[in-house]
Amino acid sequence: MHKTPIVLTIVAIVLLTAIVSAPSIIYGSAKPAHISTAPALTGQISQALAASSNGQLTMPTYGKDYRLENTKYFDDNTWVVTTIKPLNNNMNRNVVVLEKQAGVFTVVLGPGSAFPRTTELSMPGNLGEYLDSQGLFYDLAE
Amino acid sequence: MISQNDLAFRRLGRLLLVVCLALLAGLLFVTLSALHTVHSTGILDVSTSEPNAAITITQMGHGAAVMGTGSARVRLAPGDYLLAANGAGLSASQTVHVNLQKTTSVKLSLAKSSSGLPSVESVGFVNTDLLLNNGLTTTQVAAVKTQFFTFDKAAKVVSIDSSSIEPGPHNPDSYEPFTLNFNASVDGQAYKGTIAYLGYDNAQLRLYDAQTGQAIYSGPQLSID
Repeated sequence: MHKTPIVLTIVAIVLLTAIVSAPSIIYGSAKPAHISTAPALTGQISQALAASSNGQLTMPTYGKDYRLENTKYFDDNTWVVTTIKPLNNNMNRNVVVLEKQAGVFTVVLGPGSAFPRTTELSMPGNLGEYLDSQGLFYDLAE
Repeated sequence: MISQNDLAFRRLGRLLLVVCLALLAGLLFVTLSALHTVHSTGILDVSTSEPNAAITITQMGHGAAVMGTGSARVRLAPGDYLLAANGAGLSASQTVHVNLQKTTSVKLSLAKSSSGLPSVESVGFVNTDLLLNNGLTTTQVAAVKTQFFTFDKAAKVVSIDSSSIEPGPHNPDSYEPFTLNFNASVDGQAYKGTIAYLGYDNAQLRLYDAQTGQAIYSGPQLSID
């Protein structure tokens, strides 16, 4: 007569175990990755700012560690330059240049505080002029 | 007559039944959610040349997420993603497309971090310094290197055949540029080259097809100060 609660307790434990393990069994070795929404370009910039040491990765997060300012698009919105403004003391203020490659903006220059003038040859003229006007080019010693 | 004890067990049984039904509903929800995820995603399988490399991923309008270290295997919604790996001062990045219910395998070979933007510094110049022995200044050699880069911004190696460098004819009675003729290759493609120069700062590179002699490239006109 008093067996019912014991049986139901065992069933509950089995169900609870099944709830915990079912996703792992269904997903196998490939778990779903969650990438949270964030303003444009911030994912690539976080990747560019990421640093790894002994397999330990530190990756700054937009809104928590930095913000972007002075974002300007060039050459039919295929190039963009933006300034990384740190929100704490773990980072420096830096400039980064991204180019749209295969439909995805990719960091091609920086993060850095200045760039070799010779890189100007590889970017649209108006972007080079903008970086030059901001004093972001330096001449390499011959 | 039902004893108090029996009544308590009955209540407990009912409570456990409700709990079991709730857990069953939860299991159904979790299972269906997981099956939906499996049917609406593809698998990205990433390996790197560095076992300690941290692998990150991002997508337009999204932040970045850490996938794993050394290698990773995750499910993602179909679309374009930007993969990156960093470790031991090395890095690599690549755009990948994840297809629905398919596995995309990517191998990232990490290399010394460098700007993704090609520049004169990213070109390996071989024997260009020999031009200094033939009358050019360092400023003029730098100008020649820049013009080689302008000619082919994807160039990896520019090599001048050291035995081919020879001065072109020059009339000492006229104010015309000096010239140097040479054979060169840009990433293995052969060219005939001429450098015209005046004074100490100006140099103009001209490249010709090695077979036909057809003019292919001409640097900025020499300016006379």
